[in-house]
Formats: sequence, C-alpha cells, structure tokens
Amino acid sequence: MAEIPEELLRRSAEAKARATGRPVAEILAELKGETRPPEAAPAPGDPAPSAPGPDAAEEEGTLAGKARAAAAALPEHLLRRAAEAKAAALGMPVDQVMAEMTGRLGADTSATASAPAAPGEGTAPTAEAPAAAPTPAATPTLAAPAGDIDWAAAAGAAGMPEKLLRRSVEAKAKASGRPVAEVLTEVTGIQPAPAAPGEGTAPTAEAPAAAPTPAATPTLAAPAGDIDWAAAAGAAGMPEKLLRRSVEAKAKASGRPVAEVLTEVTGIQPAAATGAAAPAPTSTTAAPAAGAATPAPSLPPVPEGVSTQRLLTVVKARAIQGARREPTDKVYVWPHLLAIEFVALLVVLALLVVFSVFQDAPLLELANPNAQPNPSKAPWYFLGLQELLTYFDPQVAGVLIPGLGLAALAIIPYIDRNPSTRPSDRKFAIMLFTFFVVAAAILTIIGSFYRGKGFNFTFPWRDGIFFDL
Amino acid sequence: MAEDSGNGRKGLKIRLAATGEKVRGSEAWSSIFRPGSPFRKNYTDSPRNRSYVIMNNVLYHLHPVKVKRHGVRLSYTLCLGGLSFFLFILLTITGIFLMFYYRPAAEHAYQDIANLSTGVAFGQLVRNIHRWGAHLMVVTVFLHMTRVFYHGAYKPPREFNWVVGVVLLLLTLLLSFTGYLLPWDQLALWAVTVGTNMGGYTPVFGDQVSFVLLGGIEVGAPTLLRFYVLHVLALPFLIVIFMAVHFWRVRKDGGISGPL
Repeated sequence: MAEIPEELLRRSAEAKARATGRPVAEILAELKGETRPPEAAPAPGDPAPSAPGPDAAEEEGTLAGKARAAAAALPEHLLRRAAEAKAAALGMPVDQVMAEMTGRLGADTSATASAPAAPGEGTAPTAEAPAAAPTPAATPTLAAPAGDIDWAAAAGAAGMPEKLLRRSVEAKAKASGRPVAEVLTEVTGIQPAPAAPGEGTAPTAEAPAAAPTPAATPTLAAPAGDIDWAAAAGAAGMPEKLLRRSVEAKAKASGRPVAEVLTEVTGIQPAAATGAAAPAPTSTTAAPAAGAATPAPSLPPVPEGVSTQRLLTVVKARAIQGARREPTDKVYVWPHLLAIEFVALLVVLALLVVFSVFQDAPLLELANPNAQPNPSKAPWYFLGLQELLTYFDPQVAGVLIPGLGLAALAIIPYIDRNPSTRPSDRKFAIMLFTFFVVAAAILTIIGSFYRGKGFNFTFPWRDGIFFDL
Repeated sequence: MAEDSGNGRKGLKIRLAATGEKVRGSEAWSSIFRPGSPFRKNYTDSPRNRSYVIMNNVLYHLHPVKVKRHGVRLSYTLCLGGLSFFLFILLTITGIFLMFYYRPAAEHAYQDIANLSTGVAFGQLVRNIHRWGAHLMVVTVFLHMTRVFYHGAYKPPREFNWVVGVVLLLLTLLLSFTGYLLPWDQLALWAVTVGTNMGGYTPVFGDQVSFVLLGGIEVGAPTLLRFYVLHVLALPFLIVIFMAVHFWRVRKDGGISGPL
C-alpha cells in the first residue's frame, strides 16, 4: 500500500465512500491497512476536508436509507441513485421520491418518510425540503392554460400530428416545471394562439405561470455565492470551475438550491466561504423551508392523471434485433479440404504422367496446304458443330447455333429465377440442360467416331476410326 | 539406434536432427514461413493454427478458414474447379518448357516438335503431358460447368460468376484451339482450317475477323505466328484475369454453394 500515492488513495477512498455511503476516513484507513474502528474520527493529519459534521449527517441519512433499502430489498446505494435520478428529472426532493419508491414497494411509507425530518439537527433533509414547495404550487397553474391552446393550429404550423405535439409539449412542461405555452413556443418556434380568439385567456393564463420562475430563482441563486467552491472542489477531487458549472446547471435544471445539489453530487456539506462552522449553509437554505419541512411530505406530489414517464422515441423492433446467421456445420480447410485437394491433384498428375509415358501425342507428316486429308476433322470439342454442318447451312450450324448457344449458356442465371436449388424443384431446368448436354455429346460422338471418308456416316467397327486427338 | 557410439561422439542421426532443429529455429526460416505454418518449429495442431495455416498463407486467396462440411465431400464438387486450375498451372509449366525448343515459323515449327522426342531430355514426355493435359482441362472445365448447373450454384448471388465461368470455358476452348495449330503437321493444319472456316461464315464481319486471325485468307505461315502469340501470351493473360475474378467471386459470393 505504501507505494500508492496519497492522492490516488484518497480519491479511491472518496469514490468508494460515495458508492457505499460510508465515511471517507474509515475507508481510507481501511485502504491504508490501518484497521481502525469504524466510528473513528478522521485522522488529524488527513487533508481530506470532510468535516465530522457532514459525516454524521451522512450517517444519519444512511441509516434511514438502509431501512428503506431493506424494505425495498434493494442495495441502498442503488435505490438512492435511482431516487436521485428521478428527483432530478421531476424536480422533487430526493427523500420524497425515495419514500414514494419504497412505499410502492410495500414498505411502511409514513415511518420512513418522516424519519429524516424527525431529528433536531436534520441538515440534509431540511435543505431538500424547499424544493418541494414550488412544485405542487406550480403544476396546477401550469396545467390550467394548456386547455386553452389551439393545438390543431400549432400542430399544423409545426408539421406534426396534433396528438404527438400535445403529448410531447405537456410532458416537457411538466418535467421542466414551465408553462405549457412557453414550452410550445420553444418547441415549435411559434406563439400559441388561444382556442377562442375573443376570450383572451391565454395572456392572462401565462402571467401567473411566469410569476413563480423569477420569484424562485433569486432565492436559489442567493446561497450559491456563499459556498466555498475551492474547498468543495478539493474534496470532490475535480476542478473548481467544472464542479461549479455542473452543480449550478443541475440546480437550475431541477429548480433546487445550489447547496443541496452540491451535497448530492459530492456527498459533502458545502462549507461557507467565510470559514464559518458547518451548519452555516443551513441557515440560508433551511430558513424558508422550516415551516414546510415539519409536515411529512405527502405521498402523491404528482398531480392526478399525470404519468411520470414520457415518450422519447419509437424504436422499431426490427432495427434493434441482431442479424444472426444460422449456425452451419463447418470444418477447417486445413487439414480437411486441403488434404483432399492435394490428393486429388496428385492422383490426376499421376494418371496424366502415366498416360503420357505410354501414349505419345500425335504428330503426322509436315503440314501441306495442297494435300487435304480425307476426312478433315476439327478438334474434338468442335466436332459436334462440324456434325451440325452436315444438317444445316454453314451460317446456321457454324455461327447461329454456337453463338446463340453460348449466349443462352451465359444468361441462364438471369432466365432461371427459381430460387430453389433442390433437384425436385427444378425438374424443368435440369431436363432442359440435360437435353442440350446429351445432344451435344451425341453430336460430338457421331462426329468423332461415326464419320469417315468425306465425312460420311460410318461404323467404327466396320471401317475403322477416323479420329485424332 | 546409434544414439551414442560410445566414444563420446554424437551419432550422425543426432547431429542431423540438431541441424534441422537449428535451421527450423533460425530467423530466416521463420521469416519465410508465417506463424501457424506447419513447417515452423514447434507447430502444434490447434484450432488457432489451423486457422493460421490458411490465413497466413497465399491460399487465403482461394479458401476461407472454414468451409461447410458438405463442401468437403469429394462427391459434391469432385474437385473439378480446383483440378481445372491445377491443370492450367501444369500446362503453364510444361508450356514454358516447350517454348525453349519451339520456333513459331513454318520452316522450323514441325522440325522443332519432332526434335523433342529425339534431342531433348523428357521432351516427348513434357509434350505429351501438355497435350493430354490440355484435352483433360477442356473436359474438367466442361464437367465443372455441368456440376455447377446441377447444384443450382449459379443462382443469386452467384449469377455473375456463372457468366465469368462461361467466358473461362470459351477462353479454354480458344487456348486449346490455338495450341492445336502449333505442331504444324497435317492434323494441326487441317483441323484449324475446318475450325476457322466455320467462323468465316459469320455474317457482316466474318471475313474480316477471319482475315485478322489468320493473317491471310487461309491458314498459312502468318497464322502460325498469330496463333502462337495468342496461345502463349494473349489468351493466358486474359484467362488469368478472368480466373482471378472467378475465384474472388467464389469467396465473395459466400464460398461453396449450399447442400442440395
């Protein structure tokens, strides 16, 4: 362990702590090999800025979380991660989502949900509470004007089906906590016209919806300036600029206080820039929430008839199915095929050499243009055509038939469109081909052996063979 | 086994074996035989090496690493395509040998061929192999074509390769036909005369084509030279190109066709 740099060791311990929900100091000690009691305070010389306060809070949250996890029969950190993701997406407090999740899974929701809020210290839960306030208040006002929008006109302008546009825009509005009309403008780039032109409900409906946004942002943005970003960045092991940008963006997107998001992201309580004690941020963030925190968050924060999922895209089943080939019975070319080919090669070579030893190639007397032998025969593979010459005109037998025959041979695949290769399915094709092959063979044999002097018909057993290879 | 002759000197057998090992372990040897080659030192029979034998070999142009089991059965292809290719190589080798002793001129050609049997070691045998091999190649190419037809192996996606195959059949016939004239004996002269007469009946351009091929209105001394050039250079050049396409398409179109 000694050869690992301190910095790496610490980063690893922090990552582990985040994953398991245990104090960093404890894991660090474990990694270093100094087996310490789990409740030990962080080492005095430890540069990790994790103060005992946040650790205790972390413990607190972990205990409650463990209870929930046990109820849900899920690993606690998995449950928490899922809840956090959901909370970020819905803009709801994490604990509320978690209570909902465990409640759905059959746990005693009222007990678990109230657990984090009960202790007097309760820094982490109270920080999360204020976010709960705007959501239920805002959603009814957001949902209201949606009914007055002329969806058909908007859909026509956007060039998509009305139903899809409406579903998409409403889901987006719900997720981001903004008025439907505003989202519609953003998505389609057009100002939504009210359904009834004379009523003029849309402008008035938009006004209350717009109100909560500017009111909420100052309170959220205010504490951000007081956070000691440098210390937080050091603890999280990432550049200050990146951490700050990420946390602020996340806070803005979810509509929650920056300090709360920072706690969630890094797992540490942000220390105030002034160097005050750990509970300092709680004074800024918890104050407006004090009243709202005490009543246990009620189970359904989502308005009636609203589903928490939305359609992102439709993926056709065909596209994601793997194109897998049928398994075929295959063998290695080496040695199976190569051995067979090599043996075939040797056999043919041997036969050819043996035949050549005993049978000489013909060599008649010197060529003499003035003495035509009788009969004169073409090479054997043209004797079928020469045989045809006795039946047809030279232009037919010597040109038309071989020319058409060759062309027909070449375009066989483009004529025979029967996809089957089974002989039982291709009776006609096989019959036709066999007919021509046999005909050519018969013509060649007649031309070779049954034609004698003057290329007249003869019998080889009577007049001898007039054939040379 | 004289492993040790008793006087401290190693036996010849052992020294030979050691030398063989040394050669097979040398850098030069390893540079020639790529990994997986059975000629390499410490070759073991494993699926990996069976793949390497093909993949790291020029044979990879002809064969994939694996083929369908039915394709290996001798009764499926009868090796006809492969044997045609082998015969082409054999004809090229024997043909090059014959070129050393042959002059494509009317006054020399016949005598040069006749001298093969008397004045050239193995001359007659090589000529025999060349002639019988040529006839055999026409047979194997034709049988290969019929085999492919009866297996329906010209069906999509192999249609074009069938067309290439028909061109190869035609080129094979032309190679055989042009070679037929070269001995310049009565058989050669009159067989080619009969053959070219048929082509001369082609309407419109038949006479012109015939004149260009023969170098005159009938088979003569210029014809011999033209057929020689066609036989040893032009047609082999063409057929090699078409063979390359043919073999490449066999691989690309999915190897050997499916079982019946």
